[in-house]
Amino acid sequence: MRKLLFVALLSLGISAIAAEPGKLLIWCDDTRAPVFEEAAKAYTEATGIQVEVVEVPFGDIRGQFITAAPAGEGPDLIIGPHDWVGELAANGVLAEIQLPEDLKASLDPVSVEALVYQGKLYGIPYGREGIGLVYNKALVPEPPATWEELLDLARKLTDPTVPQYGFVVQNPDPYHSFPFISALGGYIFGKTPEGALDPCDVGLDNAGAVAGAEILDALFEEGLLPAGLDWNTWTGLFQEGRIAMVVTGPWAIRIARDAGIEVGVAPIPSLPAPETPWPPKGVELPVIPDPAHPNHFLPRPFVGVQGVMVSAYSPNLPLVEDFLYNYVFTKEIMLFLYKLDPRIPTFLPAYEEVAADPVVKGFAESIKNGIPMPNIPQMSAVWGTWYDAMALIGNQELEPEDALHQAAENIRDTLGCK
Amino acid sequence: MACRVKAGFWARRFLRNLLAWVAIAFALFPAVFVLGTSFNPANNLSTTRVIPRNPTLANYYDLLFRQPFPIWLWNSVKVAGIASFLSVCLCALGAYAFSRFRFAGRRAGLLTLLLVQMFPQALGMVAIFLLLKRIGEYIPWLGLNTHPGLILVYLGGALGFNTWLMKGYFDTIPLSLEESALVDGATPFQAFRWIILPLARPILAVIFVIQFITLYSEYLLASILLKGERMYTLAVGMQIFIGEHYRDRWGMFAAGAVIGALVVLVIFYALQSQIISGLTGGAVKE
Amino acid sequence: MRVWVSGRGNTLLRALLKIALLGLFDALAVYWCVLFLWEGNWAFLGATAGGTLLLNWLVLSARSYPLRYLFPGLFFLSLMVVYPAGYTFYISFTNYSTGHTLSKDEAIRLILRRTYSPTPPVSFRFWAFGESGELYALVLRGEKESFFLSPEGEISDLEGHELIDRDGDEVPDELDGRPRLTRRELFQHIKQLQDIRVRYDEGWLHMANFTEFRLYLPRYRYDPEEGILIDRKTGKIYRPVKGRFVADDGEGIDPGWVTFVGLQNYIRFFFDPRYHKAFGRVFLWTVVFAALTVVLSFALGLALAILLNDRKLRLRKLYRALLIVPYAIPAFISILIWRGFFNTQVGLFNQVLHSWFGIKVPWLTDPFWARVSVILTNVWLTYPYMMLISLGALQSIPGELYEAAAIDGAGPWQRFARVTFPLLMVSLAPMLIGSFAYTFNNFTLIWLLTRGDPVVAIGERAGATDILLSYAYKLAFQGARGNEMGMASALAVNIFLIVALVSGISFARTRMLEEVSRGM
Repeated sequence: MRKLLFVALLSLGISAIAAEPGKLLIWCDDTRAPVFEEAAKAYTEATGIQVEVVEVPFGDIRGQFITAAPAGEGPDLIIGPHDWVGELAANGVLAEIQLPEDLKASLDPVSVEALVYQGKLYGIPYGREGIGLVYNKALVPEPPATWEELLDLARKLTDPTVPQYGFVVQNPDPYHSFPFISALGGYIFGKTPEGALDPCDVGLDNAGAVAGAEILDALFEEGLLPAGLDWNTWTGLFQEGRIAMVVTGPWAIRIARDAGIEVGVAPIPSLPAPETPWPPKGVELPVIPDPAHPNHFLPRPFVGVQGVMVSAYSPNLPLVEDFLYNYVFTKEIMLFLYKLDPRIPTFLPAYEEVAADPVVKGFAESIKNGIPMPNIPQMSAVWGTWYDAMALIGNQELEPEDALHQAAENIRDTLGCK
Repeated sequence: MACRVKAGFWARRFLRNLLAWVAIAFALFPAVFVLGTSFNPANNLSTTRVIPRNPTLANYYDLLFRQPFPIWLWNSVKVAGIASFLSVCLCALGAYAFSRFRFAGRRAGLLTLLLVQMFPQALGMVAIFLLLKRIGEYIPWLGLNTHPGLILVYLGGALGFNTWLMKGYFDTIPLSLEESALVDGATPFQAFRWIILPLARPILAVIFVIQFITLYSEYLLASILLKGERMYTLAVGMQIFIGEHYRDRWGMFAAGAVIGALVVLVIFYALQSQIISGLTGGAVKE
Repeated sequence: MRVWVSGRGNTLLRALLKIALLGLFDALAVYWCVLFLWEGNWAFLGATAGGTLLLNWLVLSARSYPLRYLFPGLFFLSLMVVYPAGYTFYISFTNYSTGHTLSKDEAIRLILRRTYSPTPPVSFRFWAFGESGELYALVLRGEKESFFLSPEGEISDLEGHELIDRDGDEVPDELDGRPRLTRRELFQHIKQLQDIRVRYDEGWLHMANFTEFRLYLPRYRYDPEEGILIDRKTGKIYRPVKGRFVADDGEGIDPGWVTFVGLQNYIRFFFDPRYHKAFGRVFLWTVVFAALTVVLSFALGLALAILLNDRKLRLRKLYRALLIVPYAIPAFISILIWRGFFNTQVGLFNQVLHSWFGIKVPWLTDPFWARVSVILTNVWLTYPYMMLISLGALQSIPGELYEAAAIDGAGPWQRFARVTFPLLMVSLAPMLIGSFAYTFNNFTLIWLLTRGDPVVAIGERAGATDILLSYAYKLAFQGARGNEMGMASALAVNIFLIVALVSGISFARTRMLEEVSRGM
């Protein structure tokens, strides 16, 4: 009878969903939902507490959470990337998290740091990712170790008439251009002495950034890299085996496998500095030299961290903590997450299980020196302008130095730094 | 004389068919790629070749049996269908008033209606969210995350350009028809219901189709007001597949698009006879 | 044909029925009004009272007859369109943005809920006792003292209560005859347990996890008279500045709240060169884009409608259904597919052009061609709608007009130009204006197809294909502090005024057309 009523109500289109005491509500996208449903089931069995996982389109979670939570209509937990933290914390909708010591010790510290905003921790990381050099083993049996080797291979393998490309970077895309910009010393926001991000210290037009952008520019000039190569276009070519090497992230692995392409993952080769010594005398640049190759420096791609965040309006904080610390951050659930959402686990016991996998190893190596994407709201002033600069560089309309300088000035201006 | 007419007749006929097919080619060629994408096991948008490598029906299978797609489809048809039907009713009432009655502020009112509908609605979402939340506190089956609530919001768009279109159509129906009815003792509403509406079938059907397609593909309001995969309409549900960049599942999205479009086409095809249901020419002679 | 049932008897019955229903509705409305009054919900009270009075007037007054037809539609219109528009208008005068989305009260309430643990932290191990599904009490044992805690939150000494530890493991097993609750039983009372708050020392004790109660001290104190916030831990004083609590050294507390900023958003738009520099160019392109789309898609749609209106064309129904396809497919995917077609290197169009003519058109990278691409795609998306409304309007032209014209010796083109077109324009001209307004604000298309690119210059927020609305989006959501909804609302209001003005003028000019059919 109750089932009938339930079905009747459902067909009338009625359902009430909001966080209430004594019950947990999670908003999650559908890729990860099965994992949390599994953890939820285990929790309900152990404690009798109902946990509901609602699938919400990924792009909607952040904005709707900000509106719904203060109105009492939000969830207790959300799953999302670390760069949401700034905006969410600024709106007061995230609860500060105090990690128990044993959990803190078993999480990758850089990933935990990515979820810190203004000195407070607002989430628990479960996976991290970044881009690396993905190569088609059929065309490139061994990955290149330096930039010069890569250029050699690229020149040999590129023939736009086929079309076949030796080396490709998605463009114009700030995220994908960052390894080049950062290798020789560029950065987005510098840090204050206290360790927080300083929005007025913009390093997008410093000598390192310009040098890195010029290396990228040379690819366009030489015709090795087509301008305006977006995700759909290059993945299409890649699936047909027409791309030998591409700078991309773990999301491309499944695409390659589905198309039957055997791929390997390696760190992006170190970039040569335009002059020795580097950094030039008197200039301070945050670079990491390649120990194996003099005057070459390691690219520092953006690191993206995925984590679980808690609503400040949740009426169930003890329950949430119990659920997260004891039922979500376990080796089994973390491995299950890895299976459905292949990002490098930040939970060390789980990471040790998968570290031997060559793909994981390749990406982990690539982002070893990575920089977390800045999570402060001021980033919104950066992406658009930076994109414009890269677009103009790609179209050969502006030289890297001019383009980056204009972009950085624009950002400083917008952020009121003068 | 007969031969020349015949030759000209066939030539014209051939030309018309040819033109129709050229237009159809123009209409369909991107759609063909959407179809191709739906057979693509890798989740790429097929824009360079129609049939992808290793075409498969797996996307359709997954969509229909492993995803709540049928529920979403039903929700969309239900919500769009009911809301369109009610919209057409409200619209017809309004159009009749503007067409047949003389009252102060008639022209200004119609103009205002049209202008009001031009306001970009996207930024008023928060207001609607809060409004429905409040309504839901008093009338639970009409609040947030309910289909009746969503239909309620959609009815806001009933009076607008469609009203003008309908009014224009009503204007061409001669007054003499109603006058004779009124003389026979009918109320204006009865004249509306029994004379005007049947004659206005074509425009009612057109407005229904337009509203249906609009609401069927409406995303913004539905995504804010509905939560939970059993409640989502098609537009919101499918967004789940392409919500996260680099993890877009275009294969499934395309399959959903194809099925969704087929539903619309079927409804349109069925209503065509209503749209072209004859001219009003002969009615006066009764 | 229906037979009209008339006669005074029935009219009386109908009138009585009407009054009865109205009375019932009024009674219900009064009930709701009292309820709202009691809850202090003024907005709903006003709306219900006003709506009911209006309804009564509508039903009872004879003069309001036409309005009865309009009332239902207008009701929904005002609720779902006018009210949000008003809300947007209201927001445009505030600083609604990231960090400023709550009201001042909500923000203060949220901030006051924040607590900190003293150093060293003070915690109590607790155990719960009860039987038969009832929670009897808790025992709190701290470093120095232990307490008896009732479920209502009253703390008292343990004296006078019997605490038994049977197995000598320092964990009490029974309190006053009631056994200790197992963990699972604890969860059944979780709501109650989470709600317990005990005044202790300078703060509150409440449940930190399933084994401990901890002392939480409120972090802030708010002085409503002076309007300042005091940090109890550090002693810092924060004053409200522009919708946020800020200390003298510049440190601020999140979240802030929404405050009224008057015309600041509008002034920023009109006087800040960063904002209005590209305005003229973007405005011009938006108008051209909307106008060309409407004209071209209408021409195509109308031509197809007429072509397919010919009863001698077989498979008409099939043709029409196929031609609707662009309208039936979600624009989201079709726009992205078109975007793929336009790719300079590997897109379909250039592949075809290259193999036939050896040329490659810079579809999306050259400003002129990018605009062409946008218009071409939009014509594809819009012509089915035009075809539909033309089809509908064509049905309203009485066949005898064509006959009369043919008798007068008019050829097909003259029939079209003199009979069909003028009559169509009577009903369709406003639809075209409406389509113009819709296209003017077609954010989705621009965003998905080009993002406003190609980039014109770095200082310029607006690219070559940005329309006013996408430009406004870039200004508002790619600014210094993330999402600036207040700014976006001001821009939306401005855009609306522009569109309304242009449309209003166009409507006034179509006044002449309206009278054409009246004369028949």
